[in-house]
Amino acid sequence: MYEGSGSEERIIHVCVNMDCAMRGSEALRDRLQAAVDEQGADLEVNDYVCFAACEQGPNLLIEHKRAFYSEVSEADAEGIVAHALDGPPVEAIDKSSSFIAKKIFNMLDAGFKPGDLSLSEQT
Amino acid sequence: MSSAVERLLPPERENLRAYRDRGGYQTLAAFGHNQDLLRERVASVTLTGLGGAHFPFATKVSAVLKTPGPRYVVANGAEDEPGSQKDKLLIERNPHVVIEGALLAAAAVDADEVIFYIRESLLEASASMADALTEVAADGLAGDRVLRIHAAPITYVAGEASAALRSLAGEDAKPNAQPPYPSESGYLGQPTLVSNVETFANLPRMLSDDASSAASRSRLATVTGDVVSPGVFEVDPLTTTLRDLIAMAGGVPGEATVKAVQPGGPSSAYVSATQLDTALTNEAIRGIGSQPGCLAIRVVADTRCMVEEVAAVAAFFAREQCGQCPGCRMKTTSYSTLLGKVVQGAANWELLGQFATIDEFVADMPRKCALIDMPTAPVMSAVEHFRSDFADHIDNEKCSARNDSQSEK
Repeated sequence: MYEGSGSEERIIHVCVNMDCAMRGSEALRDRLQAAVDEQGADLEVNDYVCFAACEQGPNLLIEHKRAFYSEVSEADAEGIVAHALDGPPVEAIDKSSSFIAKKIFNMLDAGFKPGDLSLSEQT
Repeated sequence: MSSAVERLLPPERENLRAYRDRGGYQTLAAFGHNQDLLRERVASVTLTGLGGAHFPFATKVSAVLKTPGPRYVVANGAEDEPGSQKDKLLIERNPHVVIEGALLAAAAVDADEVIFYIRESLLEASASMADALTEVAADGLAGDRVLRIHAAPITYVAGEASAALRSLAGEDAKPNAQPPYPSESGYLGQPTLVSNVETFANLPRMLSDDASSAASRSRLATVTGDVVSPGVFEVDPLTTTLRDLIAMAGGVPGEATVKAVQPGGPSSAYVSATQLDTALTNEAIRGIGSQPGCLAIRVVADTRCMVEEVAAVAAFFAREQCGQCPGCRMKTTSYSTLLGKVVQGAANWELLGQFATIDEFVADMPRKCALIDMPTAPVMSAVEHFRSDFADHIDNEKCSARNDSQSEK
């Protein structure tokens, strides 16, 4: 079940821990999933445990794009999915150059698999 | 016959008269009005913080003295460490030894007020302390000093010193980043000596010593987990081993044997059954790779699975982290999630390497207290010493827990 769960996985990891959830990350996750379903896109939307960026949530990671987004709202969902499908980044909320994002990407480079911290049912 | 202050736990509660009849408050009488001598004795006392952090008491006192008063003393009886009952029993049975110790400390640092911060759910201990404070007031033992009780919230972090001070200020009992330390800026922004109640209870006997202050002193240890009679035991740490202590608690029930012991609460490293002949001194416990903490000793029988055991510890820290520090939330919830996957059989060996990656991730992130570090020792020691339990879950789709396990999880 772990084969192929490296960063080639096409997964959007959405933090649903307390701070992010209180800022609407569960609704965001649902909207992302709906957008993925509507387009029949080859993407997974996973519940994630925490990125340690609580004060700027909701946070999400597009694993295969090495893209980290903060303060994401439901209205950004379509743009995020487009980016995950090789479209342009949603620049206004793209925090991929931030300190925390670099730390996250360093973890990915070290072999960290965010899927291990997925809270979603494994499929 | 041992004096009132020699052993900390009398068989029954002692009121002021009983405590005095056995020599109680003699140390306060001898030193309370001789501040120079008192400070000299305190400066050389070999006592470390028995709430579990083991910070040298004399160093703390000298730090408090560096900042001008008014100063305060807080006797910490929040006792939030799971499994620990020793502060509860100490305050219930021997409130006056805690008060005498706190008054000695207050005399040493010129504190105007002494606050007894007692876990609010400990009704008997709070009543015992309230009754004792009434006796002290009637007797005039405290002079002009104000002595009072403040109810401590029951959350895990509420017993941390800076969290205690926030509770005293009417705020949520959550840790503050240090520095400034409580010794510089504590209650009402003034220098405050915050120490555990058992630490204070040691002062009457230790300060009355002369040259023999390094003599072995009893410690209070709480034994929980897979034993017939869990409870608090007053032991000589030099001569009592983990094995002796487990025997005092009636041993492991039924046919089971000891599999692991966690000597110093949930944040301490597990040791295996081969290390039971270790004495209960701080040095001996550190010598086997664990931490003494407040001697909240958890015994794990061989009927239990260490993966499930340590997953429960990780879940505890994930639940009790206070939410102020993102790195702590990330680490504690990640540890708990990963161990949950091992328990469910949804993990591979590679996943166990993620703990170190997570530790590295949070290493440079700000933290207001030590909770962020706490899951590491139990988890890493469980992986190291009980690898076959992990192998059962990861490779064999089974669990080493036996159905005849009869104790609580």
